[in-house]
Amino acid sequence: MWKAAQVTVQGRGHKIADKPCQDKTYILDSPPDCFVVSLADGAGSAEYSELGAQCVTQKICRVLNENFTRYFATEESGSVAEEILSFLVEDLKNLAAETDCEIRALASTLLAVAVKGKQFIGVHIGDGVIGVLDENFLAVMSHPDNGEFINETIFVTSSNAISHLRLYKGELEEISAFVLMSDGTAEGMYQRDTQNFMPIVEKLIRAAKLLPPHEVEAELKANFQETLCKVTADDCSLILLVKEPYDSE
Amino acid sequence: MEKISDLLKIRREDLRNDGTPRVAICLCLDVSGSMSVVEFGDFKKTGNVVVKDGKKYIPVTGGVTRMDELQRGIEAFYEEIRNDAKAQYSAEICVVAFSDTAECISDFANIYRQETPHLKLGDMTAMGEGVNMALDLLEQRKKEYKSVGVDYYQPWLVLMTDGAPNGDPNELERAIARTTQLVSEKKLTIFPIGVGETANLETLARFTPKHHAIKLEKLRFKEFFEWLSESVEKTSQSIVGEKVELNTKAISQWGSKYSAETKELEPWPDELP
Repeated sequence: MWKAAQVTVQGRGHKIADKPCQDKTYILDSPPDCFVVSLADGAGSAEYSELGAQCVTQKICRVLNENFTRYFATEESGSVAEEILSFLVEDLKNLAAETDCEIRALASTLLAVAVKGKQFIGVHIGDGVIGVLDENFLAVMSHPDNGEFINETIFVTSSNAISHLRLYKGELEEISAFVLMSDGTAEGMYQRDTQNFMPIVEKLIRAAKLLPPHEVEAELKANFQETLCKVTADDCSLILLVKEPYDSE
Repeated sequence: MEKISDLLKIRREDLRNDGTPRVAICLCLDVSGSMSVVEFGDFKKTGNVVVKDGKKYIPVTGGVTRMDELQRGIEAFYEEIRNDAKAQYSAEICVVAFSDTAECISDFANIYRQETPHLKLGDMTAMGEGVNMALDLLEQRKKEYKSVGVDYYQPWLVLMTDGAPNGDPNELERAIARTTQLVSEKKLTIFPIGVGETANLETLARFTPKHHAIKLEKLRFKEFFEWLSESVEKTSQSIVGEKVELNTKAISQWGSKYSAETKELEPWPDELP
């Protein structure tokens, strides 16, 4: 059995500017055996990016839940990436029409992980980091896709998004957790030079395995506000997707 | 014994501590003899006449020179950056002075490890050599950021001159080619600024793909450096991932646009050079 805890905190910069938090998360528990989580960071320069982020987080969870088995079985990952992106862009176009804005005003990154039975699929566009705990060793599965400069990245709405959409799939075997973080959280918890997580991430995963999600979320929110938000002005979000301890399945 | 909920405690030392993204700024400044031209203030003519490089000068005592105003502008700029809570950690300034040769008179460092540089007059205007040195230093600094995992913004190059280049022409062409390529690839922001009536704006405009330069109005160094420090502060306060929009409208308070196409000066438009 898998469970997930998430935290999303508005950054100092957006508080001062009286702008909404542009990080969004979504969790879809689809019994009996599919669990999908996603996180998106709306582009600071895009007017309605928080709406775009909300839209793509919900859509990717539904798409991965509905098509998991087919996507996993497909050898041709390019066609899967194209289909996923077309689903996302279709919903963004509809949202742009409703909101009366250009689609680029809804720009955001996207990170998602789906687990079903003994398999997983990961999807990543843009910055932020996805990590995996395999045989109790925490490793980065998907690194941030930044340009050279800190304020450059790729968004779901970017014209070259398809060539930057990264797909991962595999057998779960000894994997017992995934972690997804936005670039704001990564600013404090991911080391760019060594391309590894700070040790705190492993501790958070251990706690998430042992405690109920609502307790983890409350504690994380307070800690993010108290500490992480002091080292970055950006919005911060995190999802811990963990397998229940002592769960042999 | 550690409680489970203690695992969720995040202390400052649990987080990466080099998180402030840097803005590298190189001031590439003309300190040739013509910067000693007196522009205003109380001065007395010595009665002599000097002809230098075919130009006639009347030596005076007293008065305020272009160099005096530039020095004051730099001092105000350093002070502004030191006084800004965020920019003091984010901005890293380097100064290259060019006259007979190019010299780095203040290398990149955090502003608290730097003294405000003092400019010294030379003779010639080795602009190409100066810009090439500035680009090399910016490139080296970016490598250093990368090697230690420090995030950074697009670097800035401020090029200021009151004359025409008379260094090695090959170095000048190389500097122009390198700069325009970097600006085209969005890897550099350049401010090519002409000072006084003798500045060769035509050459300065060649440093940008759009062939635009900025003519500094009267000796408004102070206004320019105030604008520059505000822009650095704005960049350092921007959120990661956010495109930084500089207040280009405010450029018109200290400069006007020179276009190589029209060869005219006009009010500053809403864009960078």
